[in-house]
Amino acid sequence: MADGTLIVTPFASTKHTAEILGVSSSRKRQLLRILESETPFKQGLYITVKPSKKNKGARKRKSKPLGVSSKTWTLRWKSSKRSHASKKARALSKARKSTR
Amino acid sequence: MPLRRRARSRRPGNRPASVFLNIPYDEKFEKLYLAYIAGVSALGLIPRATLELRASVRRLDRILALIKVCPFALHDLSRVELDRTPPCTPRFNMPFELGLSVAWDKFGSRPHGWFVFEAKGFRLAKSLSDLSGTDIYLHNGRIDGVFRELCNAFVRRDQQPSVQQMWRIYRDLRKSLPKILRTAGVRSAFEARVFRDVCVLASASARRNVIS
Repeated sequence: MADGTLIVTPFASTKHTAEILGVSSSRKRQLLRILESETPFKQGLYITVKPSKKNKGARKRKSKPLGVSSKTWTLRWKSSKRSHASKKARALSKARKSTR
Repeated sequence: MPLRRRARSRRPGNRPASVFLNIPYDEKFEKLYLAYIAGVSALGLIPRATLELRASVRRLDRILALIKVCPFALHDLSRVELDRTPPCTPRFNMPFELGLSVAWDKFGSRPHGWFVFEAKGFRLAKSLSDLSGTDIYLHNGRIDGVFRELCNAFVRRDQQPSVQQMWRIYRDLRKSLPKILRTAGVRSAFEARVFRDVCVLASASARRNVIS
C-alpha cells in the first residue's frame, strides 16, 4: 500500500463548506442548532439527579464527556407525576407473589 | 494592507480542498454514503457530489465541472453489479466517472488525485483489469472499513483524525438525519438539499470532534 496523500490545505470550516455548497447562513444556523440539540447526552457519564421542587419536578442530568468539565442540564420535559405504581397495584402484586 | 490580505486568501493553497465523491445513489448504500461524508469532513475536506448541482445543466457537464474543481476524487466501485429490474444491466456510471477523473489527472491543467474503493478483493482485477498496478482501497462494505481506508489514503500533518473521531461524526449525522429529511420533506438521503445539509452538519461536527 502506498503512503497516504498529504493534505496541505487548511481544515474546512463550517462557513467555508456552507459557502461552497450554497447553504444559506440561516440554514447553517438551523443545522448547528440540530447538532447542539443532539450532543449534550450523546456520550460520557450521565447521572440523574433527583427532581427538585424548585423547577416543578423537571429532572436534572449531569453529564461529563471525557476531557470536558461537567455540566448540568435541565431536561425540557417534566417527569411524570406518578413515580411508582399505585398503592393498590403494589398491594395486588404483593398478594400475587405471596400466593405463588 | 486589506488588499494584500485578500490576495493571500485567494491563493489555492489557503482554501480547503474539495473531494469529488463518485458513489452509488441507492438506499442500500446510505450508511456508507454517510460514512464517506463523515470521513472526508473529519479530514478537513469538503465533500462534493453530482447530487448537489442544478438539474438544468446536462449531467455530464455537471460531472466534468465538479471533477475540474476538486483536487481529489473518491470512486467507489463496490456496486458494479447487475441490478434486478429487467433488462439486467451493470452500472457503468461509476467506472465512466473514474475514467474521466483519470483523464483529468493525466491531461488536465491542475493536479488531481484519484482513489478507487472496493468492497471485495480481486473483483476489480477481473472487472477492470486496466487498473492493475493501482492501489485499491478495500472497505469490505463496512463503515469502519471506509474510515480505515480514508485514513490510509489521506494524511494530515497537523490534525490527522482518528477512526473514533470519524465514528463520532458519523453518529452525529445518523442522529440528525431524520430531522434533516423531515425539514426537506423527503424520504431519501440522496437529494440535493439533504446532501448539502448533511455536509454542513458533518463539517460542524468535525470541527468540534477533531479540532477541539
